[in-house]
Amino acid sequence: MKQDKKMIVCFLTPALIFFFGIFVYPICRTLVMSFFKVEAISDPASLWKFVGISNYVTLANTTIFRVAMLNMMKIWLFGGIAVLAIALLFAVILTSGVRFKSFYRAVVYIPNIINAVAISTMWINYIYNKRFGLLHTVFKAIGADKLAKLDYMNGDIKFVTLLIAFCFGSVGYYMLIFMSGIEQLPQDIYEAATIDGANKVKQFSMITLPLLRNVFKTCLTFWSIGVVGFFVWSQMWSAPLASESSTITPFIYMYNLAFGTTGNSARDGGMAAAVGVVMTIVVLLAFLLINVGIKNDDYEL
Amino acid sequence: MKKVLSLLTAFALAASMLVGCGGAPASDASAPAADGSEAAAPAAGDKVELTYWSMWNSTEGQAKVIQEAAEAYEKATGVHINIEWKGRDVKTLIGPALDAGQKVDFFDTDAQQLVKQNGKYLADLTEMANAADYQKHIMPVLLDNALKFGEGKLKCMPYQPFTTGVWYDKDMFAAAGVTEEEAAPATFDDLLKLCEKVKASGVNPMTCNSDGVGLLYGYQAARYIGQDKLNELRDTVGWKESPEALQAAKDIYTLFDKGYMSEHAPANYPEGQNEIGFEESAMILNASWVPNEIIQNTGKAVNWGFFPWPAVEGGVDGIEASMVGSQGFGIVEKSEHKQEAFDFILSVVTGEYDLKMSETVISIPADVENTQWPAVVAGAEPYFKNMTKTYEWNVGLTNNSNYEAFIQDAMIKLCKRDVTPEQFIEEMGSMK
Repeated sequence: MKQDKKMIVCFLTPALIFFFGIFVYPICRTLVMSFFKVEAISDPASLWKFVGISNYVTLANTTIFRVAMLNMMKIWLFGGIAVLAIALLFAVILTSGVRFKSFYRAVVYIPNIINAVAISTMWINYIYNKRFGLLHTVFKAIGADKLAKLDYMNGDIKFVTLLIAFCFGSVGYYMLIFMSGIEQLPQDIYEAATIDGANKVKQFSMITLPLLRNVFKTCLTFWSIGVVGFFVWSQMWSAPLASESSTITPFIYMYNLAFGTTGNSARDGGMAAAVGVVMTIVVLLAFLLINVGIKNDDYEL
Repeated sequence: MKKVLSLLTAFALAASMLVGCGGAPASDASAPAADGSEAAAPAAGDKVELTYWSMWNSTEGQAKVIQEAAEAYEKATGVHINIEWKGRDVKTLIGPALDAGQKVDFFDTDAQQLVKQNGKYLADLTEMANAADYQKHIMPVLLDNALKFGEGKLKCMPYQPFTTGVWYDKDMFAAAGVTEEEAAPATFDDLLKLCEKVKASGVNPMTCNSDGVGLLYGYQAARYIGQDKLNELRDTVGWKESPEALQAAKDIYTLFDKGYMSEHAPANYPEGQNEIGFEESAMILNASWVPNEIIQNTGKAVNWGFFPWPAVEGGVDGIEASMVGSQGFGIVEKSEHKQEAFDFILSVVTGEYDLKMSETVISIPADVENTQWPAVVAGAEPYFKNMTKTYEWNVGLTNNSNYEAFIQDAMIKLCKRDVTPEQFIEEMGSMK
């Protein structure tokens, strides 16, 4: 078919304009802004004052930013292990011919279609509430008074409760990805393995896991991007406060810098931009490491 | 066929452009009188329309009063107020919108944020205020704050003010045998004695939410050293060098350690405050919106009393100092209808609608001529009127984004007695 260049231009131009206008331009502006002293993020460039890399230096020396990064890393590592392991376990179980597969799949996936604010409200008010919550009631019923009186929403345990609730809401999404990966694996390999005497555990460790390498890579990439953008759950856990050091993440810190908080009207758009740039670099690095660290499948199915 | 389609498309585009550009700005509308009461309605076809970005959601009590005021204003003057209910997000939306040239004539948010973050967009209302004798209506403490935020310029018209102090259930005090004199402790030691008496009656003397620990420690520390010195400690992380900061920590620790606070305190919002509605606790240090919240949450018509946070021995501040604040309206400098906007806002923050606002949402009236405070918050009236010094939000403890998260966590640990006062100060002094 003969290509009409005019038509290509006509069809591509609007998309490109939008792409540059709402994607490339803000990234470039944020990058440039990070080298300036800017109060509000929408201030015209005439009000910006060049400060070189001082925003980045300040950021590196700001304890709360380092704490926020550490919190994010903990969510990535501990949450990642828990979510991906449980998701894989569920995926394997649900693809092993269990009855009511569709029902179980829907049940595990449901938290993903409910708004994060609603899910976190449920956890905070109906599970962690130290007077009426599910955990309180259960521990009280079994006579574990100390556990029944535990305050799940204050102190060091707050981060753990946040992580558990977040992981609960994330499992379904990764389970579906794993399930679709497992279902694409050819059954004849398993049949051959069964004939050779391999039990289910062996089949899982020697066949399923190695063949899911690419799926792992996808899940890890999605998980990393999701954790870097961790915001709503942290906001909910510290509400009505702006933030607490136990649950603060880089995006929360960036938001506080960009828009101020109740009672703290000071803003620093340049620093907020620097946080944004650092987080972009973190995502790119994570993407690079995952691609280098996990090689593509080198077999043919 | 192609040509016909092209022509039709071109015609449609041209028509839409003409329609888009056709709305002539009604900038020459006759301005209503400064007091907004007897303004002449503009001639037909020359209608003035103001755009207001509101911090409220349309279902909230405040929104209903403002909507009613807007309808009354339109009826009286012919000026239509186009209200966009943005909710609390207005604080993040308004700056970029104004920078992008969006037509907004006035907006509202927390008075401090309004002026400190958006002051560059706002008009100085001093002349219009003088002409309308606005100063006669506005509470002096609110005017002082507004001028302080605007560095001498009046860029904000405050409304729905709040104050902070200890709210208590009068019936529980009566049941505990607390006398009228004891119910207004002048010093922290008096407060401890009051707590002991209430505790003996079988209820928790005090309670607090986890978001209220800042007020507890902030008030106590500010009573010793004042707001400015407290801000200095916060920004220089000089906690270890301040014996008063340590003493304040010891005092607050005592409240929890002696069982004067509910065993659930500090509880997640709003569980702590609700204990008063459930008749489990008698007092809470909080803002003047808390009585109404407790009534709404628990359905209990508490018989409310109030006393300001007491003074401390050797301290620089007493009951004349309190954390107060308000919401505020600001008028955009670029607005072509500043006078109309001012007149409308004046009708909301003074007189009938100010009173209606205070009755609807059980808040303090902003107009001093509205002397009838809602019964729920009336206990704070004499103290509020004699106040001469204001504290910042959370007594300034959270007014530094580099430290606020640390301070909040440290205060929670102190109140939960996970750390001793000495360890608390050590932690606060090691934030850098």
